[in-house]
Amino acid sequence: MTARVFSGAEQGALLVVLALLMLALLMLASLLLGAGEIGPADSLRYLLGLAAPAQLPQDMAMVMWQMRLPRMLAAVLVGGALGMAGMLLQTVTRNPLAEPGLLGVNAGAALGVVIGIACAGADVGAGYLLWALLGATLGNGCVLLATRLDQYVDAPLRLVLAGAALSATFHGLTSSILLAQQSGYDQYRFWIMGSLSGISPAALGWVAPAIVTGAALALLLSRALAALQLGDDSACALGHRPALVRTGIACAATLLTGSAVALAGPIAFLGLLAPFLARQCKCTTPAARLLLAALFGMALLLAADIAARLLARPFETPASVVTALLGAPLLVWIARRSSREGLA
Amino acid sequence: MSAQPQVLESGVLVLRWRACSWLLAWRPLCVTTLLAAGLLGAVVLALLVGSQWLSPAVIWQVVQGDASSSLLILEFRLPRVLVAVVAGMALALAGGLLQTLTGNRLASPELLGLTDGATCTMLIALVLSPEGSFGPWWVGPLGALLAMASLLVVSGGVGQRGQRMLIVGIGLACLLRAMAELALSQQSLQHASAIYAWTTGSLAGKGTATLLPLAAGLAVLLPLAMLCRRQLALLRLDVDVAATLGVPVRAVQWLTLLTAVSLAGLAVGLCGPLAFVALAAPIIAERWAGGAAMPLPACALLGGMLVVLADLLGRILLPNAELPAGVICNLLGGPFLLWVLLGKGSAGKRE
Amino acid sequence: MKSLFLPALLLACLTASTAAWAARTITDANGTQLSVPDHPERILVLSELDLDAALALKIKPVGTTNGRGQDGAPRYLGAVGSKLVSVGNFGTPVLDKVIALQPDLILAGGLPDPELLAQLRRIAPTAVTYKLGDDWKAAFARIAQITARDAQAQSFMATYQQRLTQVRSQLGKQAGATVSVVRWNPQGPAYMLKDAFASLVLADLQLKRPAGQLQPGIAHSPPLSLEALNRIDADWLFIGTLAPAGQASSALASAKAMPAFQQLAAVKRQQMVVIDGSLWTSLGGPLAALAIVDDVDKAMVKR
Repeated sequence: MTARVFSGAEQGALLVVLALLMLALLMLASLLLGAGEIGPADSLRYLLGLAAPAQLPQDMAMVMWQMRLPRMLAAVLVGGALGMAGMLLQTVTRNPLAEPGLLGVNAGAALGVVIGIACAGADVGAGYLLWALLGATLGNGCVLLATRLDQYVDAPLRLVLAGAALSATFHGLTSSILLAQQSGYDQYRFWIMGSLSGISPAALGWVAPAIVTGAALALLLSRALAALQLGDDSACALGHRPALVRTGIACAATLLTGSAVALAGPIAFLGLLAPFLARQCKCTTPAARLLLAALFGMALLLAADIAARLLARPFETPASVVTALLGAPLLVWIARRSSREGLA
Repeated sequence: MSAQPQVLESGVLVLRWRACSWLLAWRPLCVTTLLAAGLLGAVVLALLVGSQWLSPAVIWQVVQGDASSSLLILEFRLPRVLVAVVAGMALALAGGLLQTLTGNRLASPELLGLTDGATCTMLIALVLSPEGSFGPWWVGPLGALLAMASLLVVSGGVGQRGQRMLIVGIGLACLLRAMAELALSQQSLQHASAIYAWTTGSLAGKGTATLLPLAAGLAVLLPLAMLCRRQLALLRLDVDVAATLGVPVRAVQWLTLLTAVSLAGLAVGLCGPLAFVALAAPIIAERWAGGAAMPLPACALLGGMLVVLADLLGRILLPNAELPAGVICNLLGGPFLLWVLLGKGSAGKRE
Repeated sequence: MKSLFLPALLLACLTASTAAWAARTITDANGTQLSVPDHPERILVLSELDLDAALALKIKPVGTTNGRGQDGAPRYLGAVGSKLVSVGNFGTPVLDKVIALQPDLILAGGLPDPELLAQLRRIAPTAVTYKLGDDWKAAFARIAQITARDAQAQSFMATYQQRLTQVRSQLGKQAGATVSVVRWNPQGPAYMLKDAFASLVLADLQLKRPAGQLQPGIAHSPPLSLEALNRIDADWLFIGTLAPAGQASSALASAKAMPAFQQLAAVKRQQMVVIDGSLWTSLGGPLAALAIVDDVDKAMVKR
């Protein structure tokens, strides 16, 4: 209702401000709430410095700085990366069903982790991270190589189909390794659900630069990407080189998704949902759309992670499950609401 | 249309009989015949190959009523091979219909949550059953059916070219998958692995109990699919143009969706997710057969052949165990699709 | 060659199984009445528990399946298990191989697929020896009855009781201590629920579980939040990783490096024992039960 008062640009700005506000609240909540015995009141007093250490639970500092803070940062990084990557990919392929997993990143990462488990005995967060990153990069490399992006007029569709084809192959390889080496399955079934629990600050330190680089690259290319939407010929006329832009976008999406998967495991739905929500805002500037998608991704994952801690205290619910539980009804609701205008 | 004189492309054969005439395009016809021969060859091969290899003479003996290998061939291998054929056909048809309807290559029945619905009911049946068994054959299809029903209720309509239903289906699929995964992670490894084996799309141990409902379903749905196909060819044009041409757009969209979803639901409900057939078979069939309309017969034959060959390979690749057909479909279907996509002469083609 | 050989072999298989027919009627775990040979000679076992029980009854099976969550026969069974012929993975045995082995009795515990069961019964009498959730003692007794080796089963159980009494008496002041059984994984630890196999053996030893670990269930708990790590604390902490034990476990190393983990009372007292996760989280069996008692003996008595 209020939106009608504003012009398009103002409405976009307002939305960004609202999203930022929501994000800040969620970040705070993520620090205050946990599955353990330390409640929000104590946490708040500790954060504000209102209580002497003796009055607080003895694990306070450890829980806050070793557990909740890395987790909050991980949710922000992973959510933002997935949201932005999804938006990039959906824009460049002009397909609202495209999600970052289609680049072969998720399937490659899963294959990497399973190979790591089966051949190198990887059984710890850092080990998974390394193998997932390796697998994601290789998987994505195969997809990009297979499409030879520059040769075809209909490259976007090719990219998606090649991604789907190779992802299927990686899934097949993963399953055959798991079926031949049964002991791996027990580990794999926990990794595949994705989780933000137990992410060490060191792992954050390794992955954050990659995500930031990917995001910067994406924002840098956002204008060219918008030009590409007008068709390759128009983009050429505007001085952009379509093939180069697409390769750059694919690299950015890989950096973003690969790091996110490596850090938190596959959280599949987010890359589809966040851009979908962002597109509902009718934001025109390409960079703003990317940022909005990232913001929605962050907010969704933060909310999902908070719910993951509280749903079955003191146990953890996997973040990917909660993402789906929260996101699916949202997606359905919006799809129904906006169907008059036609989707995408 | 046939009343007007028309210029025929080369490679199209016109059959006339009194007031009727049929247009037969040579290329799809040849491709379909070749695929049918290929499917037959694959079936015979699949009967002979396994961890025990038989010579073709044995089949002859069995046909003549020699009992010694009839247990292996008639009771174990034949039903399984036929299940592979029918399931592959059903999935390929479903994929072909959905892709044509939505005009989106990524629109495959896996996206709609049918597989996940089936997995959920299988899991529920497994956990609830006092014997710890999968339960009767209809449990999986029931899950797919429930997923489909909730999809229809929740989406509240097809939307433009089925897009709304696709989007809602993706959401539903995620929800169901998440619930199944959550339930799986809390099961003992024994339960979890049994379901995992099921979700890889294995045809091991499939027999007549699976074959009969599957074949009956296909017999009912195949004519419907062919019916949809003619109308869909017109819907490939703009919706408005099709409506002007007298196509009942809504009805065709609904019929197509329901047929596709029932076909896929039956196949994945009974055999587990044989992923990728529904995505790859229509694309490959269309590339090979050419032509303006989706070549559904070729597509179905190709789907059947893919699954039979996948199952066959799965039985012989590992020395000590079987690889599920679904795994092989993924493993080999991927590169194959790529090869077809990137092959010579495809560069200029319309997607 | 093969084509000539196989029909003869199949014929032999069919006649062999029909010759031994109708000696006894037994009821399997699903309540199905079955005719099984009086003295089955060629027994095929299709699950880990069946294999464990068969070996405990001094039966040498003609074939087995790859263990669940393991690459071959379970490690605690030692060399005997690894020498057996494998007919495929649990739940999906290769029927060609089953036919070739000419079994006269198939033990198929926990087989989930009724269609497969029907096909196996075309080859040889197939008994479902346990349902998921049956405890190992009932399954063992049933397997003994089906294979007509009740006497051996009773003598094995007597040995087991003896071993229990022995270890119990040697526990001394540790008797009645609380024991936490945990599988560690990087996302968070899970503990074994009250009716899990390892929990049942610990109960036989009259060891207590901490109050937080008494929920019913045969599997493990969901992953515990790291903030609530004190839930896994007890007098003794038996901890295994998801990866097979034996190889250096970096998961456990990373757990030990975690400040919250170091604060656990059991860790501080150095009463943390690293166990073979695949044994302690298995569905069990008579030999597995003995192996667990041995583990407890080694950890709590012989220190």
